[in-house]
Amino acid sequence: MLAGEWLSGGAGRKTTWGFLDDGAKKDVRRALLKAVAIPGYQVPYGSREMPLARGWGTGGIQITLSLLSPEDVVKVIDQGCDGSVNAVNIKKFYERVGGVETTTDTREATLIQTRHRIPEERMDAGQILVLQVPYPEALREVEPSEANTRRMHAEADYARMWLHLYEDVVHYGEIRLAYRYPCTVNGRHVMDPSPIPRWDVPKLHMADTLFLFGAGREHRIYAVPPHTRVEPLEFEDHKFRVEDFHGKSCSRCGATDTFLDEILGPDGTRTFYCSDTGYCDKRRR
Amino acid sequence: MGYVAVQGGREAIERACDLYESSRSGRNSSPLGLDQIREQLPLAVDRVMGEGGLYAPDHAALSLRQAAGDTFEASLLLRAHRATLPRLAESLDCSSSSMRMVRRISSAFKDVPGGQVLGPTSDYTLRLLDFEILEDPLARRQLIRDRLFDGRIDEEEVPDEFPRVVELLRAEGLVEDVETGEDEPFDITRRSLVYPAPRSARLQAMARGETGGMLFLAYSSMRGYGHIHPTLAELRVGYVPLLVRNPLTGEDVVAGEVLATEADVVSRFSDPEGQPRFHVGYGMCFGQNEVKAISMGVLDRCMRAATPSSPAEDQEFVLSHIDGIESMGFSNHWKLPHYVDFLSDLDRLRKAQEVDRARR
Amino acid sequence: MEPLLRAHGITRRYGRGCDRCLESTGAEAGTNRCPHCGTVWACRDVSLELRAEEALGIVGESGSGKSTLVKLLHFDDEASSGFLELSRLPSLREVPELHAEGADWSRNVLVLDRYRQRRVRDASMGIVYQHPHLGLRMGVSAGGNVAERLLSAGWRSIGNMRARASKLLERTEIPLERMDEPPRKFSGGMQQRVQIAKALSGDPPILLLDEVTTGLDLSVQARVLDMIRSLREELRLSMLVVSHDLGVINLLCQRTMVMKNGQVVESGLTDQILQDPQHGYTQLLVASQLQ
Repeated sequence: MLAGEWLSGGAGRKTTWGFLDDGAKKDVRRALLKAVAIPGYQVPYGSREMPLARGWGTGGIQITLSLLSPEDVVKVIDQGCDGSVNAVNIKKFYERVGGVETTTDTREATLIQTRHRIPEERMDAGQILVLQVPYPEALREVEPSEANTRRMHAEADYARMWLHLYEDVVHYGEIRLAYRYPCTVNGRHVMDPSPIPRWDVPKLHMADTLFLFGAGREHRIYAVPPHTRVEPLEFEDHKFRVEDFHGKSCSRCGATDTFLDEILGPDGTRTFYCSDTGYCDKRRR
Repeated sequence: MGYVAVQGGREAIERACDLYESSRSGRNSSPLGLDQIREQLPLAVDRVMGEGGLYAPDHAALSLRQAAGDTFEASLLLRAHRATLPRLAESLDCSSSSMRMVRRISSAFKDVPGGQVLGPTSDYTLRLLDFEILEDPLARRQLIRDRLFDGRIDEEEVPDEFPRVVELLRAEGLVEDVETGEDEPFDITRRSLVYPAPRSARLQAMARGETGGMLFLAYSSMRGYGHIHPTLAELRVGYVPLLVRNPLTGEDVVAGEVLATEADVVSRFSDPEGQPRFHVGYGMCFGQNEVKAISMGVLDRCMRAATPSSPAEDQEFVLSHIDGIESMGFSNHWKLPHYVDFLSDLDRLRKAQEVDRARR
Repeated sequence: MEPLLRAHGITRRYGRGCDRCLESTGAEAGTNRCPHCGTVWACRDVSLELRAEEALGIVGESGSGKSTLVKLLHFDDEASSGFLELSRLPSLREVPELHAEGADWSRNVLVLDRYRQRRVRDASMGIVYQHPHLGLRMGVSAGGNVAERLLSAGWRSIGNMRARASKLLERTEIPLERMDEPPRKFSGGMQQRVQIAKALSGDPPILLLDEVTTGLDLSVQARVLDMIRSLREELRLSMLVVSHDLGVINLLCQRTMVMKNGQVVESGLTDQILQDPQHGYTQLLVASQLQ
């Protein structure tokens, strides 16, 4: 019989609890410790292949798997939504290899894995948020070479990133960076907060929660520990601004203080709903 | 109701998987056996083993079937499986001069010690679609076997060892010695690449690289975006013995053998400071995959350029883009929902339009 | 005048070096490449002192090491050995632990980490290169080019940066309506003037000029040189002027050093060197250029 048959539900063989072998989990945890010790610094690590394609959350999954214990309650969201294709797929994977309980309630979860959003409800000190990261390098916008960006971080040489923003203001009157908004962490490293909207960036600042970032394809892990300064790059006379939902509200729960998805109707009308579906459901109950 | 994503998602996803499974397993045709894939599509199996980084022909055949023939997906299946396996032992260094030869050619010399061994190759076939195969494949198989073996057994002794052509050249002082300056090889499966990457890391990354991607880069260099005009000192396909040291007895034992393709590329001398000697490039990969081994040899040479002047010479450019599993995954990930980022983008665009209108 | 910067034993070599390098390279040997081991001694044991409000010329043919020297002083390249010290410039107050308690001279800045080197550079020097593409980002607006050094030094107000950039661009005769255009669209002379504005953005006491007029038309050359001369007086700059052109040196510099094959062969007052050159090589240079 082939050793891989468990993948298709075959008889007999079982894989390790939590999929990854223990050596790999230890590797990831070592990288996590280093990441927490140097907030915002990208720690290179030996990223393993996951049974999902690269770019589909393999970095986040490796972090979650190496932290997971049978008592954990896991929530997985994509674009804020618990039912999104990728979130469902990843959740199924955790149920299968860890047998863990899952939830859609932010407050109930011990571990939340997310792509592109931070939940609306403030998380507490007992919780961990794992963010999936496509581009760990905030400076990639201005410099394609990894050898160069690593040097720039080492020397805190961020003038080119700032210049990029300056040029945007001069040419467009606005900073064009919409999501993946670069932030200075702990007054030192410029960090890519993953493709969360600007709306979510302030939630990283002086939070009670540990934020862990995993970029599987790029082999990088980084972290924002609780109570750490996370400051979006901004000018004294051109401040960072979140998305503008002024005068709009969720058509489902009526919320006026959440990030809203815009849905186009066939007749061209626009309707707005909370992007955080778990929160929206809770408000309706 | 417009808000179906939460409730309907799971069910829809599961049925989509079923649909794929159903279309993959055929309508009326008999199911594809793993032995058929392994024996009749061996080059696909080899390619998947190489790009998946796991020498396991049965698993590769299974993954090819499961991936409906998509070599990217099949390699991913294999590599993801590899991530679950503990590392039991490390093999010892082996020399390919003890390769059990299947095929060996040198285009640098008319004849070489050990001789040119053509082996199985389609290089000399006319690429005409052969409709006769459809008529009676079994009879045809028998016919070819008869042609191959009839009265020809033991006609010629095959030597035990084939000296490497590049070593013969080196003994004459015609090719460079490549100093790696490494005591232990870098392990790209355990550590993230750092740039500049040591040669062992470069070779490992290429051994797992995607054939098409590597060919593209190597071709760009041969064609003119770079300076590599390669001569194939030697191309070999054969079985390399895998030696492992018994942890209890300390004895070296052969644990099995691995089919591999190896290419030694030499290119004209170009170092005005040093001694005039040919430069060499080395390629090796699992199975029979000659295009990949040659591309790898060319790229190995390219990436040793002191100052990169073309994409193929820039090791960060090459190494960070040749992995098929990474590049395929990332290209496909654009199919995932991106509506939150897009909305954020829209917000910026609307704001900029407002500013623009006010300026005019 | 009191010295601002002093350097001694500045050396840059490419290669491992051997026992015979010393006798086989340099001005006397007529080459900077050791024939025995192939090592190139781009700059060998160069010492100099730059005083307040003084322009020091460095003259020599291509390959003499003069441009390498400037790159080493600006931390564009890493010296193999040597000392570079700065006096207690007011602008260096922000760089921590640069000067020991009570010391007039800084630590050797050549061995600082690159982060500190950048801070020292931002606070004390500006540079203008021969090729504008080395000193400018051709796709970034002229104003942005000037702002880059300010951003590097921690400026965070767009209004203040634009005010500073306008002032400098105006001073270097760039029409202000072109401030938001990239230098890619400018003529060679204009690009050089944007480089000067950029070099002066952080108000540095020291300006390094590396063949700044080479390759420009004669009339454009005269305009740029004239501007540099008046800026020096106006801003009380100290300048290090690298040129192969004795005319440029004569126009700008009080003192001059002559370099050949990586070594200094003669130095002194510019007038003296031009009128009474001592070293054979200097005599050759003077004879070939000034008559």
